[in-house]
Amino acid sequence: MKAIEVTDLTRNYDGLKAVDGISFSVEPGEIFGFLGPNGAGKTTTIRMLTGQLLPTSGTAKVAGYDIVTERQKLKPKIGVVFDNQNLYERMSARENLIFYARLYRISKTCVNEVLTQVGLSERAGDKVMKYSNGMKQRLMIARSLLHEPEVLFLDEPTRGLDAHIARDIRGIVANLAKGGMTVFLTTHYMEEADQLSQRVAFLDQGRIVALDTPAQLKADYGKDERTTLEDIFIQLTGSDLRKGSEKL
Amino acid sequence: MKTLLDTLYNAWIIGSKDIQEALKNKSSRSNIIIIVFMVVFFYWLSDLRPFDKKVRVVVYDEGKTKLALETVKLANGVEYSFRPASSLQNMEQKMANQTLGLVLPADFDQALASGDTATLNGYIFWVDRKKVTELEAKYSQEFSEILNQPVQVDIGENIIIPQANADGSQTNLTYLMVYFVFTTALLLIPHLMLEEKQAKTLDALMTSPASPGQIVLGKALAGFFYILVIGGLALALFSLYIVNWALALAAFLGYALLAIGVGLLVGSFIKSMKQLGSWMLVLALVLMVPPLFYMSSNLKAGIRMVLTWVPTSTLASLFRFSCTIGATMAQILSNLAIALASIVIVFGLVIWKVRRFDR
Repeated sequence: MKAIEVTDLTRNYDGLKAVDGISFSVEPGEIFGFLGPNGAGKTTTIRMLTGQLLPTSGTAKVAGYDIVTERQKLKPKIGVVFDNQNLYERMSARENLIFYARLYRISKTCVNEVLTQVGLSERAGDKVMKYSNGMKQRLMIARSLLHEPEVLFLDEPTRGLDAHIARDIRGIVANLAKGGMTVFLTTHYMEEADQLSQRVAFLDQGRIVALDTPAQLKADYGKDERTTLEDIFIQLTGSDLRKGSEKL
Repeated sequence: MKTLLDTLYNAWIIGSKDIQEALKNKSSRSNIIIIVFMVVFFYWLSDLRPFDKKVRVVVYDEGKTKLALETVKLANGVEYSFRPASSLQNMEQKMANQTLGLVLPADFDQALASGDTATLNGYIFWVDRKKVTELEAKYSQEFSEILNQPVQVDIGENIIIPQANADGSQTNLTYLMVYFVFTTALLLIPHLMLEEKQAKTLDALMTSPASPGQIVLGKALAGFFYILVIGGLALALFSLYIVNWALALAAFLGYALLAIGVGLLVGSFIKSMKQLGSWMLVLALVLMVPPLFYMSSNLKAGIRMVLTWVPTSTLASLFRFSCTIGATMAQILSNLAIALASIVIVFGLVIWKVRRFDR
């Protein structure tokens, strides 16, 4: 069974196709990079795959469950780190996690374990509003890991973080995949995708324009051995952006 | 059964989290304290009547005595004014908003002429029923001063419970209950939904095992907590007004559910605090003004018919029935039906809106 299986998935907003008939699959235990410029449809895809948004057409299964008809069964199988820091700021980190642990019917000892896993044990009693961006991001990861999901969705988990914290978070993600968790990762940082992902898909204007291992993409589209994933990304995506900048 | 227990448990978890968060929020705490202060203040006004130095008396003179009772001000500053009544029944009817009913017995002139202690029958409203002894002593002393000879005012069992739809202090209390409950709802409950949307924590909740219905139920529980604290305090303080507790609690539950539903509906539709401010004014007018007119006995029939369909008016009617006697089962059931239908519609809209967050 595939961890994620997407067939011809489409989502329209007011007649505009945010996601346009994408199809792909992700193997269990794989880190799958889902890359694209702003507005390419990455977050819309994640919202559909996590049951937050209904697709206009197409089908998808995550952890074996249909994202439309089996949403309630799907929820305990997935973890989501959102692209915004959506935490209860007036509550402490521990209180935030205990709240979700109760919803997932998980014991409080798991809360301490994930707090340790993301390095927040010492500040667990502090209100989240006193946390730095990096600490909030760690807490979001802790929240997504509480119930040991089969598939973890990470929507730009290192955006806006300094290099040290971003490296720590990449370390956490790599360890999760080693433990057998499937990770669906969107990021703007090509180096990060190259370093972590077994395969990457490039999304442009709602469509997948390339999907393969980073090494194969470099081999297929690169001019020489110095070609980076970023070079290929720029080559394959953002045609509208380039046209716009040429006019300027 | 397991599904129902799961639903209730998840709703409880979400509701208790919201209460915990609200108690950590200065703005919510301030709003709760202000409304509690208002409840206590209005109780103080109604019970102690600190500015009321006037005793309004309705007098039924059984024997057409020669006594002419005119407005009089006593040494202690209390002013007595008198209105005549043509019969005992007329006296009871005229007692709305009056303080005391007084029956002058047929032999009152003779009793005064003999110089003996004259006895008058006093009638008081049901809210003063715990103060019979105190009031007998007060009125006896003050009427002795007015008539310049010993007078005994006997109240005993002469407690008047107002008829359904009668004006009077029960109408004021009914309106206060509308005001307390809906002010609480509009000030506090929309934030339960709005804050989740603004902080995007609702996205995280929607990917948790909680279903949209459970999220709404959780918010409703938190809202019920606020209303229970404030409305419960009001009910406890004003408990002497209530004659029919079952009806009072049914009306209170109706108030609470409608207020919670409206609060959540507002929170689901609006997107910012600024919008909330504008909508609150409109909703306050729509929800709180109709009962004010509906309970007036001078209202034109056509307007009354229209206001009958406003759920806050019907709930206000139900609550007023609980402070009175004589409401028919048909009156109670028709009001209850309109209130229940409104509550179902409002909650249906909230769940529909939350379910559409995925569209």
